[in-house]
Amino acid sequence: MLDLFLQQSMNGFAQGMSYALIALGLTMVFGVLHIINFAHGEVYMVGALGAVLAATYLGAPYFVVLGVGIVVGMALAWLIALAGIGKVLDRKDGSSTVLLTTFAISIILYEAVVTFFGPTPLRIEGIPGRSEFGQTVVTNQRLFVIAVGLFVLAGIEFVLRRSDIGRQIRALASSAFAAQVVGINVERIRVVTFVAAGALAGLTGALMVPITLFSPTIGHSIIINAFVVVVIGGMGSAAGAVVCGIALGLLEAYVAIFMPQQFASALIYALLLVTLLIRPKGLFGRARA
Amino acid sequence: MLQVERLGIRYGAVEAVDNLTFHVPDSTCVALIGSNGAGKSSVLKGIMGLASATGSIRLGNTDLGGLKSHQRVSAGIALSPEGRHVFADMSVKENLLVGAAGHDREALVTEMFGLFPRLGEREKQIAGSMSGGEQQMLAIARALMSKPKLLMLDEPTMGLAPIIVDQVIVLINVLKKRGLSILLAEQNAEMALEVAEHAYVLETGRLKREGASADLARDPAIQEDYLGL
Repeated sequence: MLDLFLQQSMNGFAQGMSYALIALGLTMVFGVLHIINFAHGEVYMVGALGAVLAATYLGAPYFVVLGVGIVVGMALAWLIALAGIGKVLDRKDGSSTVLLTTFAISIILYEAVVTFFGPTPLRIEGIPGRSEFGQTVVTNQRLFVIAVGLFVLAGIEFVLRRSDIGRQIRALASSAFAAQVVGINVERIRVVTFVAAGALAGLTGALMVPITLFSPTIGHSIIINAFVVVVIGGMGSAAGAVVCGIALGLLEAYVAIFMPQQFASALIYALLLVTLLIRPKGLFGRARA
Repeated sequence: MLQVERLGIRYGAVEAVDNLTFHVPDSTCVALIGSNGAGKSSVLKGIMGLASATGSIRLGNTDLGGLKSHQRVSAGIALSPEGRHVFADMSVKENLLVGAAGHDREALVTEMFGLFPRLGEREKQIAGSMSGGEQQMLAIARALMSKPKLLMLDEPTMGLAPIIVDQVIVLINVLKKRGLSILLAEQNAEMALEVAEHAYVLETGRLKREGASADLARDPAIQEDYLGL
C-alpha cells in the first residue's frame, strides 16, 4: 500500500505540476489584465501540437521540441492579445467582451486543429526510460516534468521579485491606476504578461504530450481543472495556483487508488463548491484594495 | 514650465473642468484650491493623461496632448495621487524602484532615504502596513523617483495629523529650493496659501479667482469661503 501511495504521489505530482503551470498563467493574466482567458487551454494544446510536429516531421531532439512548444505558445498568445484583447479591453465592459472573444478564439483553434490534424491521438517520445526508488517506478519523463516545473516556478518567482519587468507586473496587478501614475507602460506589460502565460502554456504542452498523448481535446481537459485550481487557490494568486495545482494532481492520483476516475472529478467539483461557499475569494485570495 | 490653456474635462454628461487656463512657472509652487468636487483632481488627471481632456497642455516646449501617461512621466511630469495609491503588497524600496527612471536608481533610492529618513528606516516594510503619513511620504518619494520637472501633489495633507502636515509643508519648500516646480491641489486652503506663491480657486470646474497667495489670503471672500475666518 505504501508503494502504491508513493507511486501515485510521483504520478500525481507530475500531473499537478502541469495544472500548476497552466493555472499560474491563467491567474497571472487575471491578476494583471483582470480578464479570464478562455483560450489558454488551446494555447496549451497548440503548444503540444507544435512539439508533436517538430518531433515527428523535423525529427528534432526533445530539448528543441520544448523550445518549439514555448515559441508556439508565445506566438499564439501574442496573436490572441493582438486580435482578441488589445482593441477590446479598454472599452466599456471590455473584460466581459474579452471573455467572449477568447472563448470564440478557443473554438476556432480547436476546430482548426481537428480539421487539419483529425481527432486521432498522436504521441512523441520524451525523456526515455524509468527510474526506480525501491518499489516505486517513475518514468523519467514524469521526473523531468517535475524538475522543469520546479525550475520554471523558481525562475518566475525570481523574475517577479528581482527584475524591473517583474516589479512592473506586480505593480500593475496591485493597482492599474497607480501603475499609470508611476509611468509604467501598462499596455506593454499587459502584452508581456499575456505572452509569458502563453510561453508557460506552450512549454507545459510540450512537457506533457509524451505522457498524455496529443489530441485536440487536451486543451479542454486541462483548462477546466486549471479553472478549478485558480478559483480554489484564489483568483490572481500565484501561490494559490501553484499550491492548489499540485494538490489537485496529488488528490486525483490518491483518489484513483480507491475509486474510478469519474468519482475523482466529482470530488474535485465538490471541493470547488465547498470553497466557493465557505471562502469565495479562494484559499490564498485576498480582498482587493 | 507648465502651460494649460482652455482645459476641458468631461465624464459622460458631467463637465468636471470647463475652459481652465493657468500656468506654473519654474521653481515655484502653484496651488489649485477648492472644495470637494471643484475639479482639482480632474485637472491633475487631465495633465497626467489619466482623463481625456480638451485644450492645450504644454510642459516647457513639449506638447503633452496625445501622449500616454508613461510618456508624460518621461517628459517630466509626476503625480502623487489623492489617496496615495502606494503598491500595498510591495516593500518601500520596491515602491520606489518601480517609479524609477534611468540607470542610477539605487543612487536615487539613497537620495530619497536622505530626504525621507523614515522611509529609509522602513526600507523592507510592506507599504500597505505603514501609517497614512508614511504612505504619503512614500507616494511623494515614489513620484520624485522619475526625476520630474513638475511634481503634482493631489491632496497631500488629507487625513494627516497637523504635525505631519507641517512636515509636508517643509518638504514642499525643500523641493522648491531644489528647483522643482510644484502644482498642489488642496482642499486645505490655509496650508495651500501658506506654501504656494500663486493660487487658482476652482468652483464646479471653473476658475473663480486667481492671484498671489498672500493677496488671496487677505481677501475677505476667500477668508469666509475657504479659510473659515
